[in-house]
Amino acid sequence: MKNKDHAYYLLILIDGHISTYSLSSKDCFLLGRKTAHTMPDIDLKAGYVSREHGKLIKTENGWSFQEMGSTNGTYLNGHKVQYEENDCPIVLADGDVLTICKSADIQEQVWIYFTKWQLQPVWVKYSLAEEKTVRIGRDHDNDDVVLENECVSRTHAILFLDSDGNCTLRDNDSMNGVIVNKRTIRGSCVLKNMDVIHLTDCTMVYTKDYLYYEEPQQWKNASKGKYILQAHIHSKKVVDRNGGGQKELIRDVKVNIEEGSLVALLGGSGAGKTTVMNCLNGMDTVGMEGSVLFYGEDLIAGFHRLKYLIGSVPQKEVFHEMLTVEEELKEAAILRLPSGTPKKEVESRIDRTIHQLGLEHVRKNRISLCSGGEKRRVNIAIDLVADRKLLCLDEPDAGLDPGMKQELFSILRKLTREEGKSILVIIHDVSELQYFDQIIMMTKLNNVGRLAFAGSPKEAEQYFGTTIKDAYSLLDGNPEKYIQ
Amino acid sequence: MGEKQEWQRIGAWQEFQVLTEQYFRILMSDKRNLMVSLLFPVLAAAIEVGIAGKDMFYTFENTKSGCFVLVSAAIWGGLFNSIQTVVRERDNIKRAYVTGLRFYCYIFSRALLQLALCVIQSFVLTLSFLGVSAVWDHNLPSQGIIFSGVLPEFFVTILLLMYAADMMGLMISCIVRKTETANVLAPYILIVQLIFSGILFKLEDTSKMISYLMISRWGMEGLGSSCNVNHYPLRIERSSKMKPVYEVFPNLDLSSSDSMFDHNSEHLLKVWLILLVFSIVFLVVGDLLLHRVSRDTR
Repeated sequence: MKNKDHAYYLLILIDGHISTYSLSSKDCFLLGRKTAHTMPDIDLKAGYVSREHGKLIKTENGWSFQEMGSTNGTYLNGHKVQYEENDCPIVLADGDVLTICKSADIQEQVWIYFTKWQLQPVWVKYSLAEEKTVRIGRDHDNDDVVLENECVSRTHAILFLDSDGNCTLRDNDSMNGVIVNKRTIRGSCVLKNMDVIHLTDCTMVYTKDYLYYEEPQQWKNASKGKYILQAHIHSKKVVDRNGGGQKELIRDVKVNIEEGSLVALLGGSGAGKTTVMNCLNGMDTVGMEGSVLFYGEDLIAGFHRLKYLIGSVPQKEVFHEMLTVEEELKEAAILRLPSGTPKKEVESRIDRTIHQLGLEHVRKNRISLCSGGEKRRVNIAIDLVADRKLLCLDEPDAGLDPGMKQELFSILRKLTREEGKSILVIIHDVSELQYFDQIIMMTKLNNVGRLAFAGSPKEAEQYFGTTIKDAYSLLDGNPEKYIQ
Repeated sequence: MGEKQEWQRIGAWQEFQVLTEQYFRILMSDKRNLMVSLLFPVLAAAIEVGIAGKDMFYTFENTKSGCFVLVSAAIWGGLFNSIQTVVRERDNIKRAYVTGLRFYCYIFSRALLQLALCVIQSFVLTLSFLGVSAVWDHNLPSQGIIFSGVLPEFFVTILLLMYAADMMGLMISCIVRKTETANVLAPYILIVQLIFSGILFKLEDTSKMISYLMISRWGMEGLGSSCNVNHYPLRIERSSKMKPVYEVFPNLDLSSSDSMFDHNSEHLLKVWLILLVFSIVFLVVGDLLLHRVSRDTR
């Protein structure tokens, strides 16, 4: 599966200064040293870098690097890039490292890390000169490097520095693991200069003297208003049980979902709503071609870590009916919350979730005795209690009366507004669309689900020239006209 | 190390504890099912005492039949205990799996509490031997093969048999996707078990080989050994006031016909070990099959 539609990033370290670049604005970036006569797109401030050192070019196969006959040359993952004028550019892969150094002194170098992981502009430089043990995690009281990210455990990892300057990184039995140079470490590993560490979606670079990491607060703020999901699903196929071969379920679905928005996924029967949702939340991507980016990161590749940020609420009410609401949520919280979450925090999360979903009055009641609407909310609460960033709900309003529906959707809207949650909901009833920020409308053409529209409800009415309710019959009559 | 533990993520042990606690609450809150589970052995014991126990510990056939009733009850009870346990929670398991549920923690939590349930039920079933003895005035064997009393031996055999049946139910519950399928399967499984127990029909060749895979056979062997079934005269001998065969012919080798019920510690220990291995195999296979939950579609 090719992911050609990623926004890629560069992380550049020169002489103790780290900077990031997004490769989203252009298809070609000139790398070089800025002088009075040359104005490279990415200025590499080092005397041994040529004025026009190389180029990053976006091609059909992704991003490539082209050496431009520089004086000191460029190394890709330690191997010198040969320069021939008519040579094809070298295709770069996620995690590739370009280095430029004086031939005599490889300690002094420009280090360029090519990645598809979304990088934030502000980085912290943490000195490793005197520290013997550095705790990394989200515990303000005990961790030395604090990363305010729900997916980072308390004391997620520990760096041990010995007197010889060797550094060992240990995964402190974290929930989401530690990745060093794209490999998940088991237990601990000895770090080398310029190793790239990932603690969930926080990137760090280890050097002999410093640990560089993304500024957490900046990370939080920067993500506001950004897309939580960017997906371009070329197709999704499954094995055809009737006729053998493969059956295409959906084709060419391109959607972007902003953080903190309430999104409705609409469409008639067989239009592929559930298939789209299962691709967008990463639950069922077998046979899918295309890409799904979660906060800019490949959701499929990083699903084992990112799944903790995504809640999937099934259409069926899936809980233990014999337990009370509180008991069910307590177990859900303990099993789903990140490592080492203190009892108090678990309890406060349960209280908060119960309050958010208006379940205070049935808190001590057995779930089997709750009303239909309350059960729906308990179903949602199970994932909400774990503080997911994205919640995907499959027809949460099925079987509810109009009053209960309104109550449910207004709670969901409140969650997006007050908690910054992003919520994707499959619905059939379009009478409550005023609660939604965005709608994604699917239709069926030749038994394949296709995207008919993605945008705000108002834009949808303009697009179809009628109400959403009537748009269903328009799509039934002439789906080709509206397929995007 | 003390500091490390403070921040460790929810480990397998803690997850097992949470899931065990959860299952305990589920069992306790489902009072109707719990009552049925606990009353079933009482009913089975009553049938054993009232009907099947007549002439038990008096004639060969009746002692065998009495054991057979208990074997049937233990297998049915064990199956009934667990056959819906996993399948009923399949959607919950899938939902929890997506967020990192360890299947083995889940299945062991269920297996542990099922063991507790089986201990209670087996105890009640074991008491039926006392009932038979009291009601029909037939003496129980004066001592066990391994233990000094025969009752602890009966208890161990019934418990191991019932738990093996329980784990078989749990395994089936991991395989099927619908509770209805589990319910339909249960009686068939029981019938197959009883047919191949070696009591209803004479087993030869292939059927004999198959019977080795049946927990019913091993349950019968265990109970039969402790009862010392071979020791009792045939019904016809009793009714015609004949002397038992082994008294008339003390040197006659009876092992070929009733070797199932050999009254020695080696045989009984072998039976117990086999039943234990069955339980472990069912549990492990169940755990492995539970992984298919991840492939369930809506």
